[in-house]
Amino acid sequence: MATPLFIPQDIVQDILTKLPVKTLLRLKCLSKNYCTLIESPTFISSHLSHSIKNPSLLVFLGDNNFELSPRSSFHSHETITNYSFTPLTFSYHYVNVIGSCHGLLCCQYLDDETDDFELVTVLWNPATRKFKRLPKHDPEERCDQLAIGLGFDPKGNDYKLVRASVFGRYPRASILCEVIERNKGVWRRITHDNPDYVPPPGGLWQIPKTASAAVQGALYWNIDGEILLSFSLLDDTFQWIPFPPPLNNYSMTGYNSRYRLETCCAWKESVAAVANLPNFRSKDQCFDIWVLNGSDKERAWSKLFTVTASVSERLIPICLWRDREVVFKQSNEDGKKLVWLGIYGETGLSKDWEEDVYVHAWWNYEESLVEL
Amino acid sequence: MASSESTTTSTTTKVLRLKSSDNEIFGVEEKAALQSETIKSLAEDGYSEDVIPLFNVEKKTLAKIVEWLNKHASGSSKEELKRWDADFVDVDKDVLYDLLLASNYLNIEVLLHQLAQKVADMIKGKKPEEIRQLFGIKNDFTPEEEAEIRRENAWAFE
Repeated sequence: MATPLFIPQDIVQDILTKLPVKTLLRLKCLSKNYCTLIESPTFISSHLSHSIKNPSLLVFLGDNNFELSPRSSFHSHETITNYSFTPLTFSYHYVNVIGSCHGLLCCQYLDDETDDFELVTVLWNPATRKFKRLPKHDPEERCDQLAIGLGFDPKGNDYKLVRASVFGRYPRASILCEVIERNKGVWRRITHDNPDYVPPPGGLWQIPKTASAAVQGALYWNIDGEILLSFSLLDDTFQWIPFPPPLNNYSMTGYNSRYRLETCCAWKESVAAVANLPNFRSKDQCFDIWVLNGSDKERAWSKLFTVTASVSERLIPICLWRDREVVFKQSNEDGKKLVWLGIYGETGLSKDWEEDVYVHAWWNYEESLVEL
Repeated sequence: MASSESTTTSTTTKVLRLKSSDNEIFGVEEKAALQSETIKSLAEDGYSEDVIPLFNVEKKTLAKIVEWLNKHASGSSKEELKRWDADFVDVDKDVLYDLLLASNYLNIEVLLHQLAQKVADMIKGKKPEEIRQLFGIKNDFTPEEEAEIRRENAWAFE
């Protein structure tokens, strides 16, 4: 029999941080020592740091198909992992992913086992298959935009789910906000920007929701394609961040077109934005990629680069990837059915997925052992 | 030492002499050798003119390490290095183990990372029993305790 190899503890830990969560859950049965190590907060956080350096794009395939596939690489299909939505055993619910942070997803679905189809919110770690139902929150008021997001507060060492109802438009907008912490489990109302504003009654579901980017203790939302709204998870305060005007001289563009903030996303621990001035007379589609630098007080946008693609279909940017790559999706004419994902990099636009897929939602995702 | 730093900028390349635990001496260009934090601090402590003794590394392992240090200081392209590294870590588990301990002792972060990744890849497809045997891990769970842990995450064993 071969002699066993005794590896020093610190190297063992280094090796384990490079393993997928599923393997680690298996390794818990090796010995008490391994079990304690894998469950320890220190290890969970060093495993997470490794995951954050190798992020995936979590693609949520809709149409009653709750498979989620993180993609470590757009150019290799070997690394796809499939998760199924474990909080439900059967699959015809409409599940909506409303936030993603450190391997935790926040999902909502309508519970048809209750009389009034209660809207259920769960925190879910797809990698460990654990989930936790969050308490009910106040019904949604009719607002102009609902900004929801899940983020990490490094000061309080806790995860926060934020629901901000935005009424009216900047600069006269008003915000009503509710927050729940993972560890406390109670919704609390924290801000009411304009106390004289009375929200109109009723209204559910038809509210446009905007995806959030969680970056360094704050959440960011793209509001109306014009401005960013940020929420500091450290001190529960909101801030409006104006988006810069176009730098390029786009001449001969179609009328009624305006420079539009298409998406904001987390990128290399900063907030990045992809903006586009639609030009209906040309096949060339130009996207400017901006990054937000500086601290709370002095923020400044700087333009990183511009991507120009000449395709007849309208491209919708999703997020930034690696160094100078932008992930796009493209849908068919009714904007719904056929979708492919493509990545624009050094070699131009390359499409992913040969077959037709309906991509329901996408999130930056890093697999983790983080507890609920 | 200030003098050793100034010589790296001159045209003559400085060579450090590394001595394995079994007394074999390897000459390595300073630029390559200093990728090891341990060698770097030994050199700064005044060993740079003499032989640098590496008590924990045998000659067969040190030869491999020197090969890695030279390659990574040679200015090869990223793609070429990637291919070369994949071949370099493709060794049997005893050699891998010696390299792992040596790169940990010599504090060569990039190499340690590559070797740890290789070991992680080896672990991925293995059963817990095989991993225990490979790394000499003593199972101190009672059969009931072990069954309980397996039951909690039964799906991970599928």
